[in-house]
Amino acid sequence: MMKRRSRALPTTVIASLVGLAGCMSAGTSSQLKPVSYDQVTYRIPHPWVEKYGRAGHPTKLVTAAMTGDPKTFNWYLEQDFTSAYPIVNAYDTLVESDIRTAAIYPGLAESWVETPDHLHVTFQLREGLKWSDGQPLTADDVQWTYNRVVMNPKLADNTQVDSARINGKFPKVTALDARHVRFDLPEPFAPFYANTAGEYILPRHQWEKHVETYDKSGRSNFYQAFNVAHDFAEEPMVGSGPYLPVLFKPGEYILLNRNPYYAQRVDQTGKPLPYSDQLLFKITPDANAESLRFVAKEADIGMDAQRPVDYQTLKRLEKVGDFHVVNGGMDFATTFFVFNLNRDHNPQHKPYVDPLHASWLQNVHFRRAFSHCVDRKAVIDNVAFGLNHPAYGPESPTSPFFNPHLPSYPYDLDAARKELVLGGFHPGDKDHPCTDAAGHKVEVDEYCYADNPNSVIISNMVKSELEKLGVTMNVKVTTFSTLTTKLESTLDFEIAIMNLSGGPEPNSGTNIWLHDGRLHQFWQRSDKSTDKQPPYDWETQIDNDFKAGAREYDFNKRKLYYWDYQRIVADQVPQIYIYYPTLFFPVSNSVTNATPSVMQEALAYTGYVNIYQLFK
Amino acid sequence: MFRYVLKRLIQMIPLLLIISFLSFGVSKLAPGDYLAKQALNPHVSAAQIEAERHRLGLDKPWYVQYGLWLYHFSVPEVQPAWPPVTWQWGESFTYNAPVTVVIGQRLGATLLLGIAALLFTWLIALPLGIYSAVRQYSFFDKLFSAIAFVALGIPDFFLALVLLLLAAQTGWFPIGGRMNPSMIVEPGWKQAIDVAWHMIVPTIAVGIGSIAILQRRMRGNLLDVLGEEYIRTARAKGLPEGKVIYRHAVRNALNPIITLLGFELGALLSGFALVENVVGWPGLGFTMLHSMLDQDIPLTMAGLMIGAIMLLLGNLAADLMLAGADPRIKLEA
Repeated sequence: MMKRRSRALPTTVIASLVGLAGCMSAGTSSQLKPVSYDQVTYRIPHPWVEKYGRAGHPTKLVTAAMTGDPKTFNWYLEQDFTSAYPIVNAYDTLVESDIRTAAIYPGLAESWVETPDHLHVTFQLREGLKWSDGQPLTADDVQWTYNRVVMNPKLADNTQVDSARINGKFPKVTALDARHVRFDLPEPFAPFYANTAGEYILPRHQWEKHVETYDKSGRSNFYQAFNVAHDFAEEPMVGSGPYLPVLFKPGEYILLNRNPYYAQRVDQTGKPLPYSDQLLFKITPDANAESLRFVAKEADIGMDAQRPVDYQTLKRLEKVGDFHVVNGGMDFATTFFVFNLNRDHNPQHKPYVDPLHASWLQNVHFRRAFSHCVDRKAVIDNVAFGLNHPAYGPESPTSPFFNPHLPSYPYDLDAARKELVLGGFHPGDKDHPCTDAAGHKVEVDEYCYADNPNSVIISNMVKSELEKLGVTMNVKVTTFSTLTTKLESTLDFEIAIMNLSGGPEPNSGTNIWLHDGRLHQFWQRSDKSTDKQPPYDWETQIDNDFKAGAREYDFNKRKLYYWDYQRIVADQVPQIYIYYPTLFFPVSNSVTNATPSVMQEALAYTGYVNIYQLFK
Repeated sequence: MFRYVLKRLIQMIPLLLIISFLSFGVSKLAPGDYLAKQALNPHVSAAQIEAERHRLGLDKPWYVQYGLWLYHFSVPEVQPAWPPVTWQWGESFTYNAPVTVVIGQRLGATLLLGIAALLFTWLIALPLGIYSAVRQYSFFDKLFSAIAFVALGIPDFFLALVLLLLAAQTGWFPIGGRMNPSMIVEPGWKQAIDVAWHMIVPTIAVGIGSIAILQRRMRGNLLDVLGEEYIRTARAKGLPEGKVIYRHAVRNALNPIITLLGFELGALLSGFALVENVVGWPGLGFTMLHSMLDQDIPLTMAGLMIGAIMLLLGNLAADLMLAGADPRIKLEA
C-alpha cells in the first residue's frame, strides 16, 4: 500500500506542477493586444513636432531591463526609479522642459500668457486632446488634479506638493473654459514653469472615485489606488501619455501598450509617435544578471544607471553582445562631508557640540585645510574606477546654473598646513599632534554609515591624510537611519559624510540652503533648541540669493544669484563636496534614438528622455 | 492518529506565539523604523512623518505595537462583498496593499521552485547514496564523493551566476525569469513547457548542494546499517542480496533522512532568496529581503511566520512519515 503510494507520488506532483505553472499565468490575451501603428488614426490640429533624434519606422516591441519591482503605479506616490519607469510615460504635463537646454516648451498646453507682474498665468490647452479611453481631456482635469490631488491637504505627502508650493503658499488654479486654465500666483516665482513641467495631469473621471472615498480609518482610498495588486484588466489605466501599463507580473515584467489617442507629438516627417506598439520592462533583481541580458540579446535598453564596477564588466562584454554603453552625463547627486556649525544649545541648555571642538569646526581655515586633505582623484579611483568627476561645489557641472569660477581646494598637504597656520593652529605630523592656539590637541569625530560602504572607504582615506598633519579624526561607522537621526533631530555630531540627490533647478535646493531649511544639515534649526543664536552673515547672504533668484525671470540675471551662492559655499566650506557620479546605460545596437540623460532627473528619475522615439 | 495530529496542531499555537513575540522583539531592536529614511526626503515634512508614524502605530511602545500586529495578523477582515471573510495579515507599509495579496503574488513561484528542487534533490541523491554505500570504495563511489565535496564548497548563488553565464554564452537556457513574456498568448501546456525550461538553471543551482549533503548522509546511514548484525543474519539465512539491501537495510537507513525531509519542507518557502535574486525568479525571497531592510513590519513578520509554520508542519509531516516507515514508532495522542 505504502509502496504503491510512493511510486504514484512523483507523477501526481509533476501533474500538479504543470497545473500550477499553467494557472499562474492565466492571461487575458485579447486585452493585451496593442493598437498597431497603422491603426492609429487619431490626429489633432497642431501637434508638437519633435526636434531631436532621427525619424523612424513602426516597431512591434522595445524591451527594457530594470532592477527591482515597482512599489506602486500611482504617480503621486512613487518614490523610487523602479516605480517611476513604468508610469512616467502614462501622463503628460502642461509644459515640458528641454533636457539639453532646460528651456520650457509646450506640453498639453500649446501656449500661455502671463500678466506683466508674473502673477497670473493662463494656459491654453491643445485642441482635440483625448484620454486613452477616448474621453476629452479638458481644463477641468487640470484644475481637479491641482486642487484635489497636488494641493489636497488630505494627500499632503504626495510627491509633487513641494514643487507646487510658492514660498510656502499654493497658487489658485481655476478652469476658465474647456481649454483654458488660470494660475494665480501668490508672488512672482521664476521656477514656476520648471516645476509645472513635473506635475502630471490625471484624468478626473478615473481618479475622483479613488481620491474622494475613504476607508474605515478616514484615510483616502487614493493611497490604495493603483497599488501593486491593481488589476489592469478590471480597471485599465487611463492616461494621456504615449504608453500605459496593461499587465504586471511581480518579479517578472511589466507590459505597456501604446495609447491609441496619443497625438500630441509627431516626428520630423509628420508621422505620429510613438513608433513601437509595445514596451516590455523585464525585471531582474540582480545587477549582474541584468548585464547578462544584454549579452543574450534579451534587452534593448537598460533603465538603471550602471555602477562603476558594472561599467567595467559591460565594457568587456560589449564585444560579445550586440550592445554599447552610453554616457548619460554627470549626475546631480552629491557626496559630501558636513561640519556641524550649530551655535544653539540643546533642550538641556548645553551646546550641541563641545565648545572646544566647536571652535575648531567653526574656524573656516580648519574646514579649508580639511578640504585640501581630500584626495578626490584617489577617492574616485578607489570607489568609482576613476569614472566620477571631482566636485568643489553643490551644483553639478551639468546644471545650467553651475558656476565654473569657484575656488577649488586640490589635494595639497602643504596648502592644508598653511591654512591651519592661518587659523591659529600648529600643524604637526605623523608623530606630533596638531594643536590649536591654546595648545589643545586637535581630535574630531566623524560619522559614516555602513549601508554605503563607499562612505566608510572615503572617511578612512581622509583620516589617513589628516594624520599626516597630526589631526586625529575618529571614524565612527553607524547605520543610515542612526546618522539621519543625528543630522535631523539629535544634532549631536561633529563631522558626517552624507549623500543627497539633486536636479537641474537650483531652487529645489532651498530646503538645504535656507538657514531654516529642513535639510540645512550644517546648522539644523530646531524648535527644541534653546539659547538660539542668529545665523552667520554668509548664511543670510545665501538666503538672500535664493529669495532673489526665485523672483528673477531673466535667466542670465537669475544665474548670477545662484553663482553667488555657490561662491559663498565654496568660500565658507560648511560642506565639502567630493565627486559627481557619471551615469552609464547599456543600449542594444539594434535600437535607435536611445538618449539617456541625467537631466531627466527633473522628472524624478534618471533615464531615457524619449522612449516614444525608440525604434528598431 | 487524527487526535494526535489535532493535538500537535493545537500545541503549535503557543509555540507560534512565542516565535512571533521573539521575532517581533528582535526586529524592534534595529535602530530607526520604516519612516526613518523619509527624514531626508525633502517632499515630506516632519509633521507629516509624525502623522504617518501615528497612523501606523510606530509611535507606541513596542509591546502595544506587537498587540496591534497580532490583532491584524490573526483577525480576518469582514466585508459585504464576496468572499465575506478575508485574511489580510495587515497592510504592507511599502506597497499600501494587504500583506496576503503581496505574498500571494509571489508564493506560487517559490513553491514551484521549492517542490522542483526537492524532487530533483531526492530523486538523484538517494539512489546515488545507496549505490555508493553498496559499492563502497569503488571507482564511482570515490568519484561521487569527490563531486559532492566540490559541490558543497560552491555557494548556490555563485553557481547560479556561473550557470547564467553559460546560458548567455551558449543560448541553451534563458537568462532568468519564470516564463517568456510572449508566451502569455499561448495555450497552457506550451506555457508549462516554457516554465520548465526556465526552471532548469535555478533548480540545479538550488539542488546541487543539497544533493551532495543528502548523498553523503544516505551513504553513511546505509553503511552503518549494513554493518549491523541483523544484516549479517539475513545474509547468512541466504536471503537474496537485493532483498537484504532494499527491504531491510535501506528502510532502516531512511529514518534519519525522513527527519531531514521535515526540515526541508520547512525551508520550502524560505530557502532560495539568493538564487531567486540572481536568476530573477519571481518568488518571495527578494521581496522578503527588502521588507526586512525597509522595516516593513507586517510584511517581514508574515514572512517569518510563514517560515515558522512551514517548519512546524514539516516536522509534523516527518513524524507521521516516520511512524509509517518504522513500525516501532507509535503516535500517542
